[in-house]
Amino acid sequence: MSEITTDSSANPLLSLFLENFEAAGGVILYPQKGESIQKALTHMVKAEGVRYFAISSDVPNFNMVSRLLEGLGLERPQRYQALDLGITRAHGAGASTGTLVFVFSEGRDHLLTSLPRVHLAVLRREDLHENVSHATISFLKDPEGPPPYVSLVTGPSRTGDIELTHVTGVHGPEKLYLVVVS
Amino acid sequence: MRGVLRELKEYPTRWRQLQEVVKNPIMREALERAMTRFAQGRAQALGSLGDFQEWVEWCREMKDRALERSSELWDRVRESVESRGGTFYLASDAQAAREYIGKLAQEAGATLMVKGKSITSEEMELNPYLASLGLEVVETDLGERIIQLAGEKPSHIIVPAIHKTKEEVARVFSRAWGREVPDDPYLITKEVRKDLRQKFLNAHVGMTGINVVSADVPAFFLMTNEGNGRLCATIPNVQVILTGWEKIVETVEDAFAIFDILPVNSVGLKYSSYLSIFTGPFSWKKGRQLHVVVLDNGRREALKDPYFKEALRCIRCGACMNVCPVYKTVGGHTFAHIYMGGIGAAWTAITNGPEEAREVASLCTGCGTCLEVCPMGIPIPSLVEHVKELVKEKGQAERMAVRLVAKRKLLESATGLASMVAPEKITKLPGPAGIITQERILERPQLPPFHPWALSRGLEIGKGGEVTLYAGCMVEYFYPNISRDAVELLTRLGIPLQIMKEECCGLPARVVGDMGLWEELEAKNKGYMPPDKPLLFLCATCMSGIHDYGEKGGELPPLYDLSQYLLEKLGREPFPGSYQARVAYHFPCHLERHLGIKEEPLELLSRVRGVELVEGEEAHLCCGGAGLYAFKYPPVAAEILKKKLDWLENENVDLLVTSCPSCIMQIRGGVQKRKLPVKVIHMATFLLEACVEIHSRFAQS
Ligand code: SF4
Ligand code: SF4
Repeated sequence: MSEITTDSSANPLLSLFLENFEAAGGVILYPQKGESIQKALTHMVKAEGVRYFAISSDVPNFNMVSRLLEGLGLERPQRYQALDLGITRAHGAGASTGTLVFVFSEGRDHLLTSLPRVHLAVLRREDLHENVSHATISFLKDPEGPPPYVSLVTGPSRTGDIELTHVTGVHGPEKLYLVVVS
Repeated sequence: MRGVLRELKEYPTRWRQLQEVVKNPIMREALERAMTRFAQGRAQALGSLGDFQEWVEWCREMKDRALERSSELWDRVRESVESRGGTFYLASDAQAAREYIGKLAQEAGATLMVKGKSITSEEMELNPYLASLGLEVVETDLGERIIQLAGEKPSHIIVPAIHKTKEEVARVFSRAWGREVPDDPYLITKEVRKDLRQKFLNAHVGMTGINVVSADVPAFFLMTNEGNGRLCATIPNVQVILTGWEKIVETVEDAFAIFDILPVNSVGLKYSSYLSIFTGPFSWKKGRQLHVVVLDNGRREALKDPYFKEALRCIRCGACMNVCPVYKTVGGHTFAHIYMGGIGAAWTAITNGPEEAREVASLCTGCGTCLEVCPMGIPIPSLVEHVKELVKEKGQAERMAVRLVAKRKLLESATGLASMVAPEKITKLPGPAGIITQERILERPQLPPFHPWALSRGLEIGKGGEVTLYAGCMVEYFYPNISRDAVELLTRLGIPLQIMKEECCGLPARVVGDMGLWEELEAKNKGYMPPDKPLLFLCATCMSGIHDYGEKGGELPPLYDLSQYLLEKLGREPFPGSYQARVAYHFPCHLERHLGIKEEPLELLSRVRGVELVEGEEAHLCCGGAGLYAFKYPPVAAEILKKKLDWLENENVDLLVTSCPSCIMQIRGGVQKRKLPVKVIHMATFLLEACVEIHSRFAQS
């Protein structure tokens, strides 16, 4: 896994994306100054008190992440309901709003983004676009036909329905973490 | 006549109900807080979108194009859904849609349905119907769930349970679950998450509404922040998409554009947390089905109506309600039948017929505040007028009142009589009408009316002036001093004036839906207007009414508000006069929002030496007067006025200047009742008082 720089002059699009991702309430695990992915992940699962996790097989560096988490004593649950942490690949992203794009055709990966309390998305830098519409439309206009379900996610699940008090984690994840790889 | 009497008898009851609503402190405070937060959020976030008016133009055209082709676009969507293995049903009305969905659920052997927020389903009264089939229907949006368990109606389109305090919400859940729930929004939310999680996992059917449907790539777009919508759509085996016919757009690009503007315009959020896009059955487990139900229920008929067609562009962002003075005052329980707010009157008329929408329509003051924030360029006040026009059996009393007022001879006798027998200030009307004077006083009309006076002063009808003065009924019979001041002022400024034979401008008739009378008065006035001279107004409402004569084509003389005319005359010069005072200006709704005159009055005031101009957003708030409105709904009108009065009081304003006699009547009435040391006067009066020393120097120019 190669190093990523967030130096804005070197990568204005990525900087814009990370800024908007955070503004929407997401948390960037990597790249963060001076921390390796391994270290950042370790801190996160400890801070969040994660016991059960699941990871989608199309996550870049699937093996490394799985081994790391298992090494930390995390387990795969019997039932999806018990999941604390779901890790999936984001298939695209839009910098201007800090939005992640998840594309689903079959399988249970979508549950990893919607059921657990904590969701960690892994994005490849090449999949970053300026606008989320660009990032999405190419999937919708796939000559093979559009995927049945595309999920765009901007920050954690939230509400202000009771006295306008901002609360995250209503029905979806309370925390949305991000790792960007290249 | 019987209808009129019956309606008059109903007024006191209606007044009492409204009084209760406006005096409910919890509701008022909660609404105020939510709407202020959303409106401010919107104002802050809007910058990121660039020019709003450009957006409006673009959105309007985009959506009109799609609606024009909607049949063909839906055919395409139907074909795609079916070819991908889903079903597609176009329901002609609410009953057909209810029964279809009920049958779907029964065939799936369902006992539990989870549901995302869907106004369309409320329009269809779906929940009670499904319950009658023995199906448990669970709303999953937090606010909707609170309302559902409390057995109430939403009070706000975005935050449906905003009228409930956290203590009340905790009680609702304590009762539902049979155990103590803490009154902490965070803890309540987590408990609800747990409770509803089971429902999501156990439900057979999941149903959601839809925000937008694209046709080039047939796809259904669903926006939520809580993430309940996507769980409803993806977890249960049977997915039902319920959408109105109007939700269609041509391309996915168009759909994305709507989501650029929707959350920003709605609550000031850059992007919503979740935007879920469905193109066909999502078969991640065996046996999953997708059913699309498209509801017509009057929408396709509305496409043929030149007014209601415009309402079909609505994307339900709620911005119009967040700024609406009436909505802020009475909330979505009162200012709604099925759909909320002024736009709701049009929508209720489309789906359930204009009769059901009539009462809500009559609550709208026509202030036009909503026009400034609607991204789809929907002319809400005109749609409201259209609703009233369609329902002849209701609003008979107000139509009769307008018919009487529009008869000049009659008005002349009535005001003449009143000016002789009534006290100078009426502080308390007898009986139930006492509510009218509860928070304002009434002034008796002044004598003599303007025209006889003007003729006696040597002014001529249709000749002798460089500009024609149109006084209007209120000025003519209630406040003729305003027109006398105007004549005096213009004479001093050396501007020769002429007058015209006048009828009521007709706007009051149009507002109560009496289009026959409106057209009659329009034709008469058009005939009286000297075509070659500019027409000068002392009443913003009359000016706005006459401005609209132009909609039917035909030439009108150029129309001027007093401030516009004088500024043009002044060029870059200061106004020749001075006034030492803290002066505020009240923008009449018709002047600012219907005619778009936003700068001239302040500019003119600032040219008067000594004036310390007090500015603030309150200057632009509707005063609640709105002609007869303040007499029809006194508690609402008084409550709307409050903010303006508070402002005048807090800012220590000495003088409030404005350009509409109806606003003067309303604001002065409130000021005097509150005993504020504020003088409320017309621009003409103010300028005349400021003219200490005038030369007729414009005469030569
Ligand atoms: S015109 Fe005024 S009162 Fe009527 S809906 Fe619009 S903002 Fe509300
Ligand atoms: S009428 Fe306009 S402002 Fe009001 S909800 Fe519809 S789109 Fe939004």
